[in-house]
Amino acid sequence: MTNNRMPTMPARRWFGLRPGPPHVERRRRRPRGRAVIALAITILAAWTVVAIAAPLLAPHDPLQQTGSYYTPPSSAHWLGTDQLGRDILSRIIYGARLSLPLAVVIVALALLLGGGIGLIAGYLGKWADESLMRLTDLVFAFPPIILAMVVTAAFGPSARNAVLALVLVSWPTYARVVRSAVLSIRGSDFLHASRLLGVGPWRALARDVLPNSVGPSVVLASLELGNAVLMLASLSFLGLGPRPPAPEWGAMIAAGASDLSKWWVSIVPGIAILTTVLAFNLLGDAVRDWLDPTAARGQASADRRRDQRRAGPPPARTQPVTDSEPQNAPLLDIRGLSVTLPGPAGPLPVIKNLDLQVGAGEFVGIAGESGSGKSLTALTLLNLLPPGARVDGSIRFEGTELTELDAHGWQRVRGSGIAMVFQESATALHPMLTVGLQLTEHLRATQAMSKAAARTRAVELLDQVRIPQPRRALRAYPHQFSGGMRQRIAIASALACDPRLLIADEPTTALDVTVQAGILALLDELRRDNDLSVLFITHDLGVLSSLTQRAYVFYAGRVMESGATAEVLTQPAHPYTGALLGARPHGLSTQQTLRAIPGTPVVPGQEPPGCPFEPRCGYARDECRTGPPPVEAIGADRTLACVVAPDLAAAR
Amino acid sequence: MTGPRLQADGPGDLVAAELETDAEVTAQPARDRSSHRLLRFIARKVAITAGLLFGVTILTFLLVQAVPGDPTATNLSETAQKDPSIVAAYRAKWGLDKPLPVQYATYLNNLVHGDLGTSQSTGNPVLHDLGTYIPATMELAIPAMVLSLLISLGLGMWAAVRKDRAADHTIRAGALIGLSTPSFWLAIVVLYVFFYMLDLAPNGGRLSTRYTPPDQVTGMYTIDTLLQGRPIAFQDALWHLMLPVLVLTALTVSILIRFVRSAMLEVLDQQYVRAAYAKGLPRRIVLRRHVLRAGLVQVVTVGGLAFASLLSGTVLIEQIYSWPGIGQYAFSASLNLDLPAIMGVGLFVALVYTVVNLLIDILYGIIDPRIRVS
Repeated sequence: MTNNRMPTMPARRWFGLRPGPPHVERRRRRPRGRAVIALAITILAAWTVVAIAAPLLAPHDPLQQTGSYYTPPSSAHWLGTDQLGRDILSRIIYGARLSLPLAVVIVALALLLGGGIGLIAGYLGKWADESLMRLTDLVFAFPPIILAMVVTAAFGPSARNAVLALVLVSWPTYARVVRSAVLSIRGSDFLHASRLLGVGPWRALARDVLPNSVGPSVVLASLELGNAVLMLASLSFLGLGPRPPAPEWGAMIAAGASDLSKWWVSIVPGIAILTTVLAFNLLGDAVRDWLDPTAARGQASADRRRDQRRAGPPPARTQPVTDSEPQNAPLLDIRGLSVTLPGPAGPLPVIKNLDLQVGAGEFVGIAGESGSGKSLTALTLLNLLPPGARVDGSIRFEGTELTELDAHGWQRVRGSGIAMVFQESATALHPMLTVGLQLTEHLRATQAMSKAAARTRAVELLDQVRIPQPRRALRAYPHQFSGGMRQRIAIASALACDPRLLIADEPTTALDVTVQAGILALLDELRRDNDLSVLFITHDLGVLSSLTQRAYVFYAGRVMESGATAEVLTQPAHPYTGALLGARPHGLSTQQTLRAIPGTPVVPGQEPPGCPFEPRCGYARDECRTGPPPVEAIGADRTLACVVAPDLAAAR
Repeated sequence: MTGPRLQADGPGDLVAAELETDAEVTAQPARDRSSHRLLRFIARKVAITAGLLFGVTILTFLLVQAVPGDPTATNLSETAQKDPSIVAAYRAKWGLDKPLPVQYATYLNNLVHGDLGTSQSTGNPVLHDLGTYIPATMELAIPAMVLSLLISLGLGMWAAVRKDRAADHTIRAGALIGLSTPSFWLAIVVLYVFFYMLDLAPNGGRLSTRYTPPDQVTGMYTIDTLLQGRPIAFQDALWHLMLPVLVLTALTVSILIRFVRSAMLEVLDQQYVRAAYAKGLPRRIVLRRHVLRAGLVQVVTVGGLAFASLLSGTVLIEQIYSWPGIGQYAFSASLNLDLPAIMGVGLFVALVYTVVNLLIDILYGIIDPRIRVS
């Protein structure tokens, strides 16, 4: 399927499989992001040049009062003159000499003062921390402008007092940031270790703690520069800043506020402030994104969309493995499914040429390691892949071709046709909505049930999954239940609209073994009672054996082997399956070593050219490196993707 | 063979064993315990408030005392200052001749009795002044806050859902420009455009001069004119509200949008949003019920702080629109070194922040049921 009629869901980031090299990668900057930073730096550089070269650039003396008051812009005075006849353009140019350096000084001093206090509070702890934090709260409680006003008015308006006032007002933010940085590392092991090694407290402070606080401080400082300019302008607008006739931009705006007809006096200085603060803010954002990656929002989305257009033609489909007779058509029939996800260096194939069938009432398992593509298969079946994903191939469910559905079509399939139970019930249930609401909302939304009917059905469902006192449970919240109960509720929710196929994505991995047994037994019972088909995803071969009738073994987005579960697990045909079975610790004595599979799982985008398992396989031959082995049928309802295995089987 | 085996007599045993422990969890909530907890919670908050207010009074007191400026010098004319008897009388009247601790103690004592002193510049009791100026600011802050919340929730959510697309970039660019704009300049520009150029808005003030201000019930002209049954005056008061509220809203929206957007982005990543779609829910229900509520906690925090700062920091807007609010009062008090007035404003501001924080905490409990237990 290469058309774009398969809209992906608006959920903006994926989780689980993260393609790309395992080391920390430098985020590639979008061209637009780079342009924005370049713009910010250009503006700031321009203003810096203006400030430095003011005497050369300004056409007039900023303090000189010509006789012509309040003249509009003209050839003699490009921006007109103010109420004392001074050239506004020159005053704006010289104003840069005030605003920029003063803002830098304010931020630097506030950083020193606040950072110092935060450092002391965080490092010394206890009473020092407590009292300093109360002081911080106190200063925080005052709106900055009023506090600054009071201080400057009290000490007399001047540039120095304005700076002092603003430092006084802004240090708490730095104190808090530095303190939390210090606290985060204070409890850390390597600090303990260095103290044990005899490093004195003050040296430890300077050597270990201080560098850790530099990052957040720099981020904060760069974000605060713009704010400093604004606050300074506000103070001088009120007449509390640098004393006249100093050409401060805020004061210039004040001069024109009284007479609106002289618009040039107020408007242009404001533009100067706006551009400067905007440039500072853009730069601050860029610094923050660069130094604090967790705060950065993915810039890769645009890349994904670009890469989507560049992706090549879909891979060739293999021949269908089993002939499907029309009257025995399986409930779910996946043929040649290939999924690529957008990655930093291009599209990454995560599922390759998958063939999979689930019949009515069957319990089919998918086994594989993390990163093998099992969960992504589940998400593809519900169209919940991240934006930019490409899906090729065919997915037929109850006769409908899912890859051709539009958004409404998918809404009809989800919940009522195919339903899903996720791995972590704690995160899959909304923590702020009652269980009752989460069980009834889709009943009412998709099946137009009345509130009462939906509640009755919800109680029924909770009974089915063995939740005690179901009526009370409806009013409760998910966090009030244990993990096992929550997962039952999730199952109940998935079954609410009577789906034909239930996908269970490792539903018991997060639970302990006895609880797990209960959930699995429940699933089996539900399958039989409701004529449900279950596609069970797991990495636990034991679970696979106890419940599933057929199984697929996944590796690197491909099926390595499939067939009746009992056969696959007792007589594995593929070396990978054999290695998985051999690697289990069950039944080993202490004398035996654990036979782990050498190597690491394949990273999408870095697959070897041949069989994906070849680097780790003990039986690899030259022909394993030429190309991925095709999936072949080796018996009734048994498939295998290995060129070596048949010879191995013959040799046994 | 490995793996758990099914009980021959059915899974009921295992399930029942698990259920016994869980039955207690879903048992009747202990209502009496939770109300006791709530009382303790409120008592603790009140104690912290009292401490904070106490600290504020000390801070303002020390601050004004520490400055080289002398209230006497700022409030008496030049000639009056030359006359020692007048100066002495002035100082005696305002208690400036007593030692500092005594002055402070007197102030605290009066405070407890509800007397915030008398403003040195207006001559009125500070409490009375606050009673006039605070509602005026409230009349600006409340509509601005309501509008800001509605607009930023809508736009922020939209930007989050359309992340990295044109709408998102436009909204974020707009917010960034709004953040970088000086508030007083925006106020002047808006006044220039709508009053001077287009003649659509008044030139500041709360009411046109041809109307008499309504009798004070709430202190907010819009409400009071309605209560008095004067719809035309009400319309005029509303008309005067337009521009300052517009400017305040624009500035507050710029701040809030970024927080709303990032809160929503975080929520959109959550598994429960994906699970909600997996149930077949249409998008508008998922966004409105699942995403919005989860992101609301963060929005409430920022919104509360924005409201507190709106109530206390509008001095620049009030200056330009000649709006006699608490900001103006604080400004003239600062210029005159009017200690009682400054302290009154400080107390009010601290009170606002504490009440807002309390409300935020209560709202948390309403929005997120997990917090109610702790």
